[in-house]
Amino acid sequence: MRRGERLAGLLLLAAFLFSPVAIGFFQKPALVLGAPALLLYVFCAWGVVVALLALAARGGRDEDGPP
Amino acid sequence: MSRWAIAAVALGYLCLLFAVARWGDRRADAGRSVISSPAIYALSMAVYCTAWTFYGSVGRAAAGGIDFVAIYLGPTLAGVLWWHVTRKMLRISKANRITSIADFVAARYGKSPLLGGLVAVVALVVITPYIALQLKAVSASVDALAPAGSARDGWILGDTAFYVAALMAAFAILYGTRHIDATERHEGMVAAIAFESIVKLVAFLAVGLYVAFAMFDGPGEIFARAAADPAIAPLLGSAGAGGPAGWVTLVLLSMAAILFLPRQFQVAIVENVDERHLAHASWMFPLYLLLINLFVLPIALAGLLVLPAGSVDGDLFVLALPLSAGATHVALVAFVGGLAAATGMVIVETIALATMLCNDLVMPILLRSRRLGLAARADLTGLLAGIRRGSIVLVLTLGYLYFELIGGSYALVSIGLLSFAAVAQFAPTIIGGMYWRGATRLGALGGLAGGFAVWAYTLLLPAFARSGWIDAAFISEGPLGIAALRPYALFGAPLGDPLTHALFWTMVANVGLFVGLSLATRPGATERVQATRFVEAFSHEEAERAHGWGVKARVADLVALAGRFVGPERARQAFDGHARARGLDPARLERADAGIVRFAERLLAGAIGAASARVMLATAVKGEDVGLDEVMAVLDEATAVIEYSRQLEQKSSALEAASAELRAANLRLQELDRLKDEFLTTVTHELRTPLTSIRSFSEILRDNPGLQAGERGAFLDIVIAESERLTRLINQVLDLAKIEAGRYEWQIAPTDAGEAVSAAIAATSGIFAERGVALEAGIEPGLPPVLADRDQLVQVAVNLLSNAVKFSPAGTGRVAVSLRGGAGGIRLVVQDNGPGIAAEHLPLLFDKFSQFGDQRSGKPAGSGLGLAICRRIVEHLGGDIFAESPPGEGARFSVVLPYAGEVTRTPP
Repeated sequence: MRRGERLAGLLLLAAFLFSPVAIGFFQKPALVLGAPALLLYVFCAWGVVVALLALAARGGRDEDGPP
Repeated sequence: MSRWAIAAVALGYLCLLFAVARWGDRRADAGRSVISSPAIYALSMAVYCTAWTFYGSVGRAAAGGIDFVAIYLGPTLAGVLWWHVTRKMLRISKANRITSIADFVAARYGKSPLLGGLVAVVALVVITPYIALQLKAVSASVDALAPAGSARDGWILGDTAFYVAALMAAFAILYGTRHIDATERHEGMVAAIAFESIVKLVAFLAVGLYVAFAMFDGPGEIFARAAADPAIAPLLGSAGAGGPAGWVTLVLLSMAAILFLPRQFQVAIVENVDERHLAHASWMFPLYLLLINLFVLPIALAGLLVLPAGSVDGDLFVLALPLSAGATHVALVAFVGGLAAATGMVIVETIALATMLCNDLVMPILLRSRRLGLAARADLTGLLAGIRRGSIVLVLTLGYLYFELIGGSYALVSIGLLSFAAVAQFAPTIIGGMYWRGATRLGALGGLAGGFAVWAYTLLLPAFARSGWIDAAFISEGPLGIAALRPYALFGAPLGDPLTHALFWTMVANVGLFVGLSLATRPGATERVQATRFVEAFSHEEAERAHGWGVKARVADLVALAGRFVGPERARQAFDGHARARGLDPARLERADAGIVRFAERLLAGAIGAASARVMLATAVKGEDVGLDEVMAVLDEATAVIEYSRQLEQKSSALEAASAELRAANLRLQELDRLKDEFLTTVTHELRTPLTSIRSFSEILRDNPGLQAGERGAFLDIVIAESERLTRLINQVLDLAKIEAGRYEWQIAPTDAGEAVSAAIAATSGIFAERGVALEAGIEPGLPPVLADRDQLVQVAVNLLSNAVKFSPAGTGRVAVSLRGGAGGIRLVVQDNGPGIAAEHLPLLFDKFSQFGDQRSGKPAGSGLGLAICRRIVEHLGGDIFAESPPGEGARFSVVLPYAGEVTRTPP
């Protein structure tokens, strides 16, 4: 149960992080730490979502109920 | 590099692939599956990354900056959805033995062959060019590695794509149709696909690392130089030409693609070994996507920086960059990676399409054709395998012909996103079907047909026009010059890029028709059953799991079946009880014998009626789907009715209980009210008797001042005694309330009855004197004591005496009191010479409020409680009280009390 809710929350977070609005903040040809700000943001956000997905999968290992 | 060398490398790689697949199948046959791990499962899903990813992402990045990422963010988002959506698809597919996306749609909407066929045809039309695109990528990569000018000696023989297609066909036939089993799993193929995913990831990372660190001084240098170049710098902050809407469209389309592309369905659903792998794959797969895209932008920027502008297509930067630096081996690694990406996609897609064609297009037609008589044939496996193999060859031939005939056209190049948009048309039908019970077959047909029609009009026909097969005016002017129908701006809608425009209008048509027609039509019996099985996949999983796999009834099936109607817990208990009663071990029961089946039938009959139970059971015992749909429909209706009536019953019984409670409370209140009234009456009556006595003697003393001192003293003693008794009485009245409530503390002791009666005579003598009634007392001396409460005994005698004096005629009245010993105890008799008591009143005399004074004197002569109190006391003391009234002799009241030694009866 909890895992389904956590994933629903994660979906909302990911939908925001990957939204054109969030992406739009970084749409300038500036370099941050030697990399394009946009590229850095997209891969960092992506990495965060993957990490949270991994956490959710690990945390819900024993749960096998319906969502 | 010579073409022969490249061909040798390619051949070597493909041989390795065959070896891996063979190894995977061998291990599977030996029962030591290599694919039963979340990592392999996630890697097999990476078949999503085709040559289009391997080469095309860089090309897209070189043109539009970071927007290529959107195609991989969609699947990442979908990974979050897997727990909800894919897991449900998995459950449904396993329970219904679904083998393809066409099968899934057909099964959901009442096993409709029409729908299944439609999906299969659409998939074939949309995906075959996509396969052609892979062949083209392989061919182009060979050309890039060995730009041999007129290398294509001969039409077919010099063509790499042909050999690749032929080898892929061989692979698919060998490892995709090895055996036709119910699950349609191909372990060798999955192992090979996972291997290919590793190869393409390693190859791409190798190229990326080589470009970034060997050709440049790290990615930082690439970015810095790109930022310094005014022609390239805008790419660093660009998210594509589509703008925000285009970005969202790409994310949504890729989400739909990862869920509904036939090859993704094949690896994620059909080839799934264990549902639990899904949770881990849901992060491993996005991680894979992240890694394979890490170097896309650096490679694209490097290509733009190093290679002369316009000399090399962005799609080939991956090969051209290492070549430009003279690193042929790195280019060869890239080539193998691209080959892996292409072949992986071709293999899985071909097998998925072939399964679809065979099961949802060819077989339904063959089985319907009476002339062939296939339906009656017992073993169709050989035929099935033949059709599969034929389908594989057909799909790959079509793919090759596409490539050969329209290889360079826009239509082929754009087919990647075009096919994503087409596959997205499955989304409303499938998602709607999984969560909305009301979705009907007609709705699905309408939605799919409408969606594809609009897709063809807004994307496919314009692609044809851009390839030059249709007049380009079709795009700019609209068909026949009708501007409102321009395919890229339907009705003049300002929707930006063609893809967003198409997605909007296809979904308007698709969802509109799907929902509208579903609402307008009623589903048939089979549809309703299938809808329930799909929508409630999780709640019905036990029953579903029990179905389908077995041929004979299993106890678990029967328990699950009964559980649906009587509750799982009760069903389990009932079956366990039945098994134990017959001396069987419930835990070890696997197959149901006749006794258990009959028991199940009885159990079911109790819930749904005998007729339904029989049909229900018949299906479970056969374990086949024949007729199950109709049965399920009947039963689902029956269940609904049962549920409804059960609710009604619950409500009415709740009402009944509530009203009974109210009634009881009301009765209790009335009783309490009556008791209160009775108590008050009793109190006043009992207080009046001694008061009357006291008043009488006080008046005598007042009216006769000349009384002798001895007499006056005796009278005063009586007054004092009566006052004391009054005090005691008041206490006793309070005690009476306790008697009523069962809380009176009786002072039971051996008591001299004669003394008590004498005390009563003395207490009442005043009244006798006043009314001029003569009193004759005959008390036998030396009587044995009785077990009694003295005050209560006096009370009984006083009550009887005052009662007698009341009804004796004033002046001539005569009351006789006698106390004698008898066989059963002492006997107190009070006899008056009044009018007597009518015979019919005798039985009611000792009841409360039974006043019959009106018959004697014309008005009530007492409270009617005196005798009632007497009876209560006497009965408590274990004695008896009764009245006789022989005509003309007055009334006679008798009290019998047992001797102290003879009381055996315990007081109530």
